Amino acid sequence: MAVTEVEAQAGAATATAGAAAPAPVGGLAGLLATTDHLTIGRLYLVTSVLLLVVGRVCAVLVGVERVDTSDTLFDGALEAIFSVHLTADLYLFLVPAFLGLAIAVLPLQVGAATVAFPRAAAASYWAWLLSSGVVLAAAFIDGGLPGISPDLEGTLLWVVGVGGAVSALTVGAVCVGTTVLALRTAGMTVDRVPMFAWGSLVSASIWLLTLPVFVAVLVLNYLDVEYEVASGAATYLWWAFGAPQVFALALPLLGVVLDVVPVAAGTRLRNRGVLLGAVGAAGVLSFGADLIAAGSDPSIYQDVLYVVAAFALLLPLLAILGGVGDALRRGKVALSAPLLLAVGALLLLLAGAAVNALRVIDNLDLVGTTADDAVRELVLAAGFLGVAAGTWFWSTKLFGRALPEALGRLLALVLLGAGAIAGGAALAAGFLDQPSGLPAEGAVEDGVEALNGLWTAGAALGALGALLVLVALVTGRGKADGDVPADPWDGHTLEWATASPPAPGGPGPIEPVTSATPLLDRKEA
Amino acid sequence: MATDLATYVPIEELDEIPPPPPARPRVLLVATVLASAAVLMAFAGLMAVYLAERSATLAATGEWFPASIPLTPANLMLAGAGLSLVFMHWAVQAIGNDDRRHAWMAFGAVLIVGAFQFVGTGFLYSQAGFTIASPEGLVFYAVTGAQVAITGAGLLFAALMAFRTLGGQYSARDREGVVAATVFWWVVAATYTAVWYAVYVTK
Repeated sequence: MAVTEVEAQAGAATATAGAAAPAPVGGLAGLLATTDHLTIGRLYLVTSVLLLVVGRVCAVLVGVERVDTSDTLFDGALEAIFSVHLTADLYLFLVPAFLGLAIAVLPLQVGAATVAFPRAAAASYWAWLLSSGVVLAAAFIDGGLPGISPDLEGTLLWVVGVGGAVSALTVGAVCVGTTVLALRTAGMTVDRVPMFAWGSLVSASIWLLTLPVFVAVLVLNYLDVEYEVASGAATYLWWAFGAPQVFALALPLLGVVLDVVPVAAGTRLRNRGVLLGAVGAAGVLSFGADLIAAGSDPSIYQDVLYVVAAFALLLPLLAILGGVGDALRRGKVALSAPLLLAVGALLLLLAGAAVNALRVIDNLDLVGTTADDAVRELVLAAGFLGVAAGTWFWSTKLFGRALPEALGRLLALVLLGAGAIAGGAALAAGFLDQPSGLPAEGAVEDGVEALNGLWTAGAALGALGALLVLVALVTGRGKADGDVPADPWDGHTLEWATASPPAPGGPGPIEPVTSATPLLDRKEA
Repeated sequence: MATDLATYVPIEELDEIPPPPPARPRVLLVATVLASAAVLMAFAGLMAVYLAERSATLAATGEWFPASIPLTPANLMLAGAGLSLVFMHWAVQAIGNDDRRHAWMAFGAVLIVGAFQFVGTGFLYSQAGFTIASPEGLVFYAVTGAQVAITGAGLLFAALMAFRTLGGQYSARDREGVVAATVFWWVVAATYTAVWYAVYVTK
């Protein structure tokens, strides 16, 4: 009789699925030692929102100084406050918040038991947290960005803190990229991954190609400050805080939008391949590390490549807007909080890309003005909306309870207002030739004070938005009564097949996936 | 290999059993490729600043690198980098044939040749005559120091995989870790080649 040997070993994606998990260790020890991807993701999310409050408060303080530069309110500390505002907005909030969302949600989306290298992911969180503390400590001794901060000891501390934080985020990006590339369940080819997983893969790739360059320049700056060389290394840093790099930092929001909208509309995305390509193209066009020398040679901003890329970035974003509009038109739309937050995120990102395209028009002379800050403000608000959309959408998986809908809708309104007011005012001030960067005496012309006041109000709204998220996390706690639906939105992708909150040890054996929307297929069958 | 999990099924009943599990994902290899890209970009950033600074200084003063620095140690280090790559592939080949003795020999050779890179760089530092407290010295030590750090990371990775091989974790059936270490060693060799040409040859 012909026989064949069949090994009954489980695939790696389901290797630990259903296995009896060891009893979790509680308390602080359990938190410090955790390798649970949901816990690590939650820690990243909550901590980054807390740090956003710090960043936005610092933005308000800088704005107050910008309203009237004739009298310095923060004697000797303005440089530190300005540095914290830039760093906290982007590298202590935007990137880690999306990283947290990805670490928590991606394994559920791709049918993996956990994130790749969970211990490395946990180490990246704790290293990032420690480094964030160093950044804040540096600010307390007047440390900040090299080149503007007068205190050398504090500047060294700031460089170490930011370098550590960005290095930790890079490790997290490796974990996220590896999860999508190597831990997908059977049948889930790369073109079948959920849109957030694809957006996270594209983002992780761009982060891995740009953040290490930032770290390398920080190393140069450390040596420059330590040995008092005054080589001008600080000029190589600024690309990391401006366009197009800020678009790369906010890129995962495109994945969130393209996952939330079809579910909210109860329909499929048409031309999915085009949308996958659009997210990838947006990633390529937001690569910013090539501007490393722009600080010492501003003529780079007039390069054909830079100008064309700034305009070209609009195309994939418009394609995604078209895909979103088409889904909304064909579906039955319920104005849920995740949908409002997601659509708001896409609109503000598009506005940011439009302002960025305006910036590079030579005749407008906007490079070096607060139009640069307008792009950052718009993209930051868009990113915050994207993080909030994902948090509300996946809240039953993340926290085991649904976050308050009303608060989510209010948040969408607040953040849309924050982005539009801050970005619009900064752009208008840019047209009036207000220079970007640290507010300096004589830099404010008559008539710009009101715009600066509006800009400050927008930043304050952003801080209010961060507080609203924290309030939502606290007030939603009482609804965790063990009766949370697994699929509250009638979802399309694998994460909605898991319990809320997901059981430890992964989703268990999964049927081979045959399309990009396996749950929707099952419901329609 | 988990013989208690093995089941013998008549071939005519194969349709009734579930499809085979997916192939073991190569998580370590994928992560190594991603991390290697990140390391290469960090090094490329430093190299870009080095070249920009050198170009600006040469245009202003016409002088950059002391002519007295010998090229011979740098050439020997390049040969070492190439040789160590061959040794790494020898380790991959040997473990693919379940030939552990040769795999360990290959790893040992890599570790020795890799350590030589530190000695060679130290000697070149003594000859360079750069002080770090100057714009030229700053970028010189940053670029070459970063390359030494990358070599150190590659040696640690290779040593770890050698110990794992010693412990029997890798075999012809699974040599992922050894292949991953080899991928990273290509980064070590590529970065040294860049330093050799951009720093030592085109002074």
